[in-house]
Amino acid sequence: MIVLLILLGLLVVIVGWFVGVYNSLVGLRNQVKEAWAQVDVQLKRRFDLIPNLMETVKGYMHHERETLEAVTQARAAISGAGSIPDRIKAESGLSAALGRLFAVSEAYPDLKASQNFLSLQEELTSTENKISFARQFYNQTVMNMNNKVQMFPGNIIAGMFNFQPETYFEVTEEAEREAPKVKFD
Amino acid sequence: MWEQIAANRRKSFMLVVATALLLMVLGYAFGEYFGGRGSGPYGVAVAVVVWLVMTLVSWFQGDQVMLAVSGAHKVKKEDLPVLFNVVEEMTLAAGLPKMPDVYVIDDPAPNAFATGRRPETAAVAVTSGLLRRLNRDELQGVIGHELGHIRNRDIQLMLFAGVLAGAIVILAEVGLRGMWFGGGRSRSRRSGGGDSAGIIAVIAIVLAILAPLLARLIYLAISRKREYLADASAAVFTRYPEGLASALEKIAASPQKLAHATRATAPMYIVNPLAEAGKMMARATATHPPIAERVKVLRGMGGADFRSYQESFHQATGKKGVIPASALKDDGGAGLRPGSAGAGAAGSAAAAGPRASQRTLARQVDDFFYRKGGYKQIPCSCGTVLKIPPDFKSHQAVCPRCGKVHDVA
Amino acid sequence: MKCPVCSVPTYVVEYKEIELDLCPECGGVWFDRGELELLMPSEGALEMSPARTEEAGRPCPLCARTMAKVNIGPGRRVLVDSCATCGLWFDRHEVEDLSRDLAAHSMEVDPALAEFLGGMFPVKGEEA
Repeated sequence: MIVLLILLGLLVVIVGWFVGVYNSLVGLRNQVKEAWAQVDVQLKRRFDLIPNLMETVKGYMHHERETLEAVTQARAAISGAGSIPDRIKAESGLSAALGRLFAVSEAYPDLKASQNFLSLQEELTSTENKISFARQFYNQTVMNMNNKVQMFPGNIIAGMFNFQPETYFEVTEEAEREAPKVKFD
Repeated sequence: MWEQIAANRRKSFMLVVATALLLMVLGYAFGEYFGGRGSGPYGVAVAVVVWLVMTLVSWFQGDQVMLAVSGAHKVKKEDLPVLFNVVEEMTLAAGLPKMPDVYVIDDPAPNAFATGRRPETAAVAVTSGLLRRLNRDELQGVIGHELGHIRNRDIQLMLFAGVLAGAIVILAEVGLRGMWFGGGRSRSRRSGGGDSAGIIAVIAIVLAILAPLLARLIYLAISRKREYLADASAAVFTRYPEGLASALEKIAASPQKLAHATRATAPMYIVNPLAEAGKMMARATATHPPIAERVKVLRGMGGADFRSYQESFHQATGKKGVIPASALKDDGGAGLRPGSAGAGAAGSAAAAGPRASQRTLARQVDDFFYRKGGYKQIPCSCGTVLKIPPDFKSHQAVCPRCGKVHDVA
Repeated sequence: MKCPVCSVPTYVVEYKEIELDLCPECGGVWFDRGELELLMPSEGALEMSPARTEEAGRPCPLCARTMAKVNIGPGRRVLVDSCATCGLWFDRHEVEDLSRDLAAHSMEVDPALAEFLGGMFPVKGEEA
């Protein structure tokens, strides 16, 4: 009788632990999804702002066809990117192309005096900031998730229910290297 | 990491529990003194009721009163785009479930505070003096600090601790008055006098004097600890501790004093609004750590994570640390990023250089209050903008740049 | 804001994201503290020293405390009223005097400041 009760108690403890770990894994996966949604909102916002920007700068920047085209192409590459790693690569490319555009815009005082351009520039650079802050938070969440999925004992349950480690959103080194060093003021 | 920080408020929570115990002991002593032997529990009950009523009152009016008392105006994105964007950026960095409401207070003294019991209902308020003085990076640091308070659930904690301390002060005050007017003497006669009554009287008096002081000291200790943690959070969010450091220096150097701050609202602000320049305040009686020390810790950070803050804190103060151990356990290990002055990686550049962004911020906040004040804007063809107040006497205003005369109708 | 000299309401002029208050009666100009500094690369480039003068002190238009008389500019040639917490008051033509002083010392002062003041308060002929 006592042995049976002990076994029953043990079973309850094990099942409880099992449910706990499973739920925390599901919770983490939802957090990762939520964090990615935040990044995605900002990426889409940037995507939507670019045609407006191109329209504004076109009239001023006559000698920068290549720079402008690079932005348009980088934007087009995003629509073509299927998987998340591809998407991340394409988005970094757009960041770099935009950085170059704002760097050369320094040479156009008329453009810099345009109220429309200034507010677009604030919107776009703020969106860049938002992307990188949302990315920072996303990566933190992914790290929490991956630690749980890969470390003992979480890995046992993760393996049983097919929880996969998530992909970090890291700016590719290429984009970092190409980003212009601009000195303001 | 963040959940662990929340869990690690336990130490602060223990201090709150200690304050609660102090309240009970005070209640018990008063009960014994006024009600005679064995009435201690009734005294405790009275103390708890006083505390509960005060808690309920502050709970139901807390946020709105704080904003109303400080004369805050709610802003929309079109009013102050840069401020709004910065709050949005920090919301993402902090991973808050909802962007806090943004308020501006028309006050030349630079300061900021956050309010709201839950992250979902939080609000952040800044003064116009702050927006006129800071550049974008510095503003980001200040907003990061405020959202750090929200994220770490400090507002709730400080509200709770503040009400407790307030209940002790009120109870002690009333009790002391009661003793002064001889409330206890008749009791001691009825119980036949004796040593025990005398001892109880002494204990009650000593408690009535010491308890409010002790409660306040505990409250201030919690407050200072939360300030350091909010500074560390701002550094982690922005990955640019220099922004907050330089903002704190500018705020400290400002000669203006906040018009709306009272002793009750002081701990809510990013720097103590009541500290007088040049007047030495004992460290134990300050709601905030000294600014010089906060700046030194921020400047000494080698990376943008809690561990770097902890190390720098240890270096600067010689004390062990202020960051809970579990927050350090699986810290991100993030590096610092350059400020917008030498904009490096794409995505970290501010819209313009620090000076230009400071000008833009100043004009946006001025224009916001000009619109509120009913000023009329007249753009002149030479590039200036004339802003005419509603009580303007003349019918014409001259543009000083080109000499053109504009009709004001 | 009311002019500290004639007590009539002033109006605001914005140029290059810098603001000043102008009195429609006497042509005096008020700069909020920090406003001129916004044009300079580092703070404190616009230095001033206390002046010895018989002129009576005026009340600050913002805080009503008596303003100090100071000499401002690289040559310390322009006498203005200064409130340590609120800002600076220039009588009519004193801004032009400062422009002239800045132009004479153009090597030592920030070009942005000189350009702003020169653009805003062009130094005209003697009849101005």
